[in-house]
Amino acid sequence: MAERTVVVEVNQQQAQMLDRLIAEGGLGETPAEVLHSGFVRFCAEHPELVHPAGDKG
Amino acid sequence: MADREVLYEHVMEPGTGKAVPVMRGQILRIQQIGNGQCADFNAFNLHDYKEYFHTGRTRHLHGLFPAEGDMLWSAPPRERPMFTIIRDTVGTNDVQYPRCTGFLYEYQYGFEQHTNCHDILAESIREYGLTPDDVHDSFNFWMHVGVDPDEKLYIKRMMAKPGDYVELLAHFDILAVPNVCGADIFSTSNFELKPLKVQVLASTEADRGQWLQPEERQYRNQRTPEDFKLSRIKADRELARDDGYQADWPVYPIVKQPVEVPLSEDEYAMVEALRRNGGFGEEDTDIVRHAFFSWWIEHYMRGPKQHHAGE
Repeated sequence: MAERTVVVEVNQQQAQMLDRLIAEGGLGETPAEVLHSGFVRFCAEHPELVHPAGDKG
Repeated sequence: MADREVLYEHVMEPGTGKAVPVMRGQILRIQQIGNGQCADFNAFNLHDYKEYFHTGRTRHLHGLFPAEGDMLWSAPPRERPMFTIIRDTVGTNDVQYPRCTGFLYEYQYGFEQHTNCHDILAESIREYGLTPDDVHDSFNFWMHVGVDPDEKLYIKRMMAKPGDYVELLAHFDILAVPNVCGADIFSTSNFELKPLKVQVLASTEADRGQWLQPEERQYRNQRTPEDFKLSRIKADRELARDDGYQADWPVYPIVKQPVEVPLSEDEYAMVEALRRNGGFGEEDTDIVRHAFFSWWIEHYMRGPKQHHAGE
């Protein structure tokens, strides 16, 4: 269940990129789902950034 | 900001640039309207377009990141100061990276057409009869560049905020050509295209006394083609505006649409963590955008990535 919504403005070029990712499959079927997937994957791949040493969050 | 008469003002929308005559002693100001936008920049002698800005000599004389007090030099054999940066409220500029091009966006990102500085500059100088071959390496205002431990260049998050500006005092009559950098899928302008304001200002006597350089060459080796065996250039050197010019930007207008990205509390905690990092921006939207495109760059971009996510 989503508890926060972040609005990201994308232009027509960036929307093209999102559409390509939708067409490739696996990340989601809408621009919002693709943005969400990429964000979450980035965070999972960079624990040093989201859980830096000394950060209890 | 000094109180000077505004002689000309223009807002460059995303996807556009502007060729602006700046006469000797006048000041070109480029100002942020949005939250961090790179301006690529070309410059030509208004009376001899074969004299143009040279990144190499500028980099040689002022280092990798020219800022306030440094000068923009013209290419050999002339090698004269074209402008002095008399005010720079941020101090992050670049003279390493070349202008972005259509090829770059096709090769590295897969776009058949994309805003790019070469094409925007070419369309801008067409107003004065210059061609795509006349576009030269750019001075990149506000582009925030670092050198990593492997001595490779990379591009950091843009630091400029609304209202930040640079002021350049012209040492001779120049056709100045700034443009809104077309990179919206890199941290060059924080993954967004924003407008920039361009003004030409009258200088004060104090400005000229402090900054203005002599127009005449100061060294024997600041030469022109007249000093060489073959001096005739097969071109009309005087630049004149084409009165019939109508701008026809390759990608314009740039239209944005909102995308609502739902996040759980745990995911939002990651937004907070990235905010604390400092390298992703301050607003939620900036952070999600920066992280998403960083992920895209890491997984999809071809060629050298030159991107470091976070501080």
